[in-house]
Amino acid sequence: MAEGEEPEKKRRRIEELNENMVVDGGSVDHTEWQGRWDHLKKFLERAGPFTHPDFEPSTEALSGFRHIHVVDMDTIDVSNLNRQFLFRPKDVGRPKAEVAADFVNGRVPGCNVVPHFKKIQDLDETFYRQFHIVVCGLDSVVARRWMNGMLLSLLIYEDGVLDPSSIIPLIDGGTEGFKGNARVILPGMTACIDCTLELYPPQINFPMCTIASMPRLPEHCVEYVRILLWPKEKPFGDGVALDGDDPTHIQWVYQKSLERAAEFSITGVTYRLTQGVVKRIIPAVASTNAVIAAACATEVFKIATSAYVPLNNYLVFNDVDGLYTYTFEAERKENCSACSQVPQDLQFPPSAKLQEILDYLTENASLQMKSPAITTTLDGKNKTLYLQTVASIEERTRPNLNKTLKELGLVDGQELAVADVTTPQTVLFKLNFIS
Amino acid sequence: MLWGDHGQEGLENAHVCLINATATGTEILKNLVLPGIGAFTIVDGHKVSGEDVGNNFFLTSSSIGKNRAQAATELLQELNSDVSGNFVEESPDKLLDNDPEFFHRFSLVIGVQLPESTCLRLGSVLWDAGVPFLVCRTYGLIGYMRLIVKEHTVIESHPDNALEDLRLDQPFTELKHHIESYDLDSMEKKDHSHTPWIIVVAKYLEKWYSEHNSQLPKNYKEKEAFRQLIREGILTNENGTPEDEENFEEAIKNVNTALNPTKVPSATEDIFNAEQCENITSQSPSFWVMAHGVRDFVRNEGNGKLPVRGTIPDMIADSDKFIKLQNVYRDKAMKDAAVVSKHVEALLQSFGKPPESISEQEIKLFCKNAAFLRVVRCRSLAEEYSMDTFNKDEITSCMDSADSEMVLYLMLRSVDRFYQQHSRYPGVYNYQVEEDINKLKLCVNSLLQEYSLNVNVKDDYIHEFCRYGAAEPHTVAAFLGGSAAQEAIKIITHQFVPFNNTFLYNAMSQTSATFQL
Repeated sequence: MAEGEEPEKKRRRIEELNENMVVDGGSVDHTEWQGRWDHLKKFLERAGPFTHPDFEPSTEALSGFRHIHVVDMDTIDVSNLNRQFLFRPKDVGRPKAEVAADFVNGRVPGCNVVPHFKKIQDLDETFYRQFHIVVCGLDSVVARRWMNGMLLSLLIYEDGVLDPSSIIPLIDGGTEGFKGNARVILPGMTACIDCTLELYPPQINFPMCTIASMPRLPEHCVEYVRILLWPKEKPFGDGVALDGDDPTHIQWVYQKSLERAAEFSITGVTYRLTQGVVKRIIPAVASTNAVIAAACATEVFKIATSAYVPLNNYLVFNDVDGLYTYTFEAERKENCSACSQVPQDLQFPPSAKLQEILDYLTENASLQMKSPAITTTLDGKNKTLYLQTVASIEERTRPNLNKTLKELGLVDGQELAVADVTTPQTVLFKLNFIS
Repeated sequence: MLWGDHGQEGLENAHVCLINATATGTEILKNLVLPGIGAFTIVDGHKVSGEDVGNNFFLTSSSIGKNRAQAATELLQELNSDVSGNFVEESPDKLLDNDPEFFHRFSLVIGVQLPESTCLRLGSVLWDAGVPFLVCRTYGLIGYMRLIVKEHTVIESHPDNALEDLRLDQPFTELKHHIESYDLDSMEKKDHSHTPWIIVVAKYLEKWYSEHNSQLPKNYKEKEAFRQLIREGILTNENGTPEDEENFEEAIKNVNTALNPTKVPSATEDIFNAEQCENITSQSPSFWVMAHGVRDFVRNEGNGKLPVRGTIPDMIADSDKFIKLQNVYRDKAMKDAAVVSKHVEALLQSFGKPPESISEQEIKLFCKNAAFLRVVRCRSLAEEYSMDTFNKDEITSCMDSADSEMVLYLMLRSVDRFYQQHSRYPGVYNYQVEEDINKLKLCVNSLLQEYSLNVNVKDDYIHEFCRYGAAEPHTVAAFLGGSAAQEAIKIITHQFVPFNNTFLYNAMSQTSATFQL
């Protein structure tokens, strides 16, 4: 055969394969079968009165979601099995991402889920940039803010105008008992996680004096043992931290909690309560997670196919009494510290101590930072004013907390760069001296 | 878990029937198998099609052509080895023809993607047998649920924002004595700052009474004045600046709700006045026997008030003061429950039943929840459909807004009509869509005419429902899967309150509504 014919033959074969992939793919290929897409194709082939104005029906989009990456730092615990349907007793101890990927790849032919047994923070922009859509089912506000910040950092502005192709939609779902919410975030365009930070009230921990000297509830007794007694008695050795998954640890805490409770005539300490307090267990059920996951998946479908206008932009669900949903448009905050690109204003007198700025960063409801590190430029050089996450630097910079802003050499209009776990990028603040 | 050990026991003793192992069906079952339902039985006469495997996580392509009930049972069973999974390869219509009593054994029957005629037949059988029936349907981007249960009682409704039962407006004797044992004015700072806010409010209320003719602060102005009175009680240091007394701050904050008059909530009143409560027989479920007992208490020893609940919220106080106060309420609750027990015992004896037939524990739980009792009665499908009893008012008033979820209900009724006439659903194949829009419109109009419903169903919805082609997209099926499963758990455990009685979900707008039809 002449060389020139070979490429022609190859090209034809690829075309044949593609044709068989679409719609009623009746090929020998075992990852397709007759009717596979029947329930979906009507939404993609037919326009309708409620479809997205830009939607153009076509049959080519039909291949399902095949390329999915899953990131999860956790391993499977036996307590997960009552609601996490991709895991079985034999999987306990294995990484969730890997087991989930294996299961889905085995059950859904043609699907290619790639697992990453990592923290979301272990991956960088080059990783996240490759995706069309990011979906989150995270278990903390801090993690959500981080993901939010990451996608915001990928936005490209040209002459102050946002390049829409740099937007990666973020679909976020969360549940707690019988309550849940699902939201769609278009970074740079719609309300982001930080815009609505006040929707997440700060976690309230029991006051120390209650735990130390005035317990009233069984929970106070457990916290006493966890926070005060364990570090003092080191029951399993020096430097051995309390492990909520170790039954021998929990048993020790439980016994000591009972003793504490008896001292104050408090009833109600049980093994289960002890474990719940130590592990900060929030009760969870399969049904609420199914509802919120489904709502999120519906949004992914809408965005990926452009078939419908996505949720705009926040759904709340509660099925304690009947079933209740509430849908509203969360508004962008004009001066949001994450997405507004407006340098944040810090108003303090020059006589204020640096500690006051630190307190503001952690206590302010719109900022809620965890352990901010503050740096600035003085005399043309980068100077760390305070940083807590590295012990040696914390020690060195601690005296600065007690110094006034004037003493530290800061001037009106000074730019402070703040880094924190709640965001992958530093947040810029502008110091505004008031009298 | 959220429904406690006794709820879990109820779940593990339940046997649920699912009719049709479609995506919606298996998603519902998944959320029942995972938390450990005792047993399930899938009734399904269909064979697995390629279409089924495309939207159902619990079917694989290797099961195409096989018995759908069996294939789904296998993959659902492996979610939880403690659950007993069973299947019957038979259509529900055949079972209704030959052995309708088959359905009597179940705690709950869940019917999924059922044609109207089957629904109505099954509904009638289950209504007469007293078996709860949950109808679920995914139709394009619309989800629908209908609950049918004659009478469903709930003791543990677990309300989200329950008011405390503190009795500050009418303190019982033991509480009065306990309050008297405090003398705030003679206390040292430590004790003063660690006195429970309940005591603080009670003490200042006494002061207020002496100046206001023993009347509770009633309006905003008076409550403000009362708060101010408490604030003035905060200790000051040598310079006259107020000390940091968090317990007093708590007292001030709680004035709004702490002084609510103690009374029997209307839902509980309704229960007391219900016919089932009034006329107790040997057949009466324990809920009604206990309700009657509590009613007797309220009318006698309780002086118009329910048994004391016995719990107080946590508050700033030293351990000793808090525990002592908590015990005052706990002990009173126990005393009241014991009196209720006597009434219940007398009732049981009056128709020859042993007093142990209702345990102390049950009565205590009932008393503790006396303010939160609920009874849900969902009308039968026959009543919903009948020309004489259908809920015309609800339908017409909702349709004042043309995009109310009620239009989705009317569309579902219309596609059922279409199915009745044409033995298929509209728009399943592309070539049918255009013609079917007109045919479906005729169905809509005949429905509205038959029921004399003077409402407008926009053409957009008729077009959209044709467009759906009776598809069952997985994400919508999964949303219903979670919703329906939790309603099923509510029915089985008698905890939390089920919806009454029609739920509609719109995945396009991510909105929902509940109607009582």
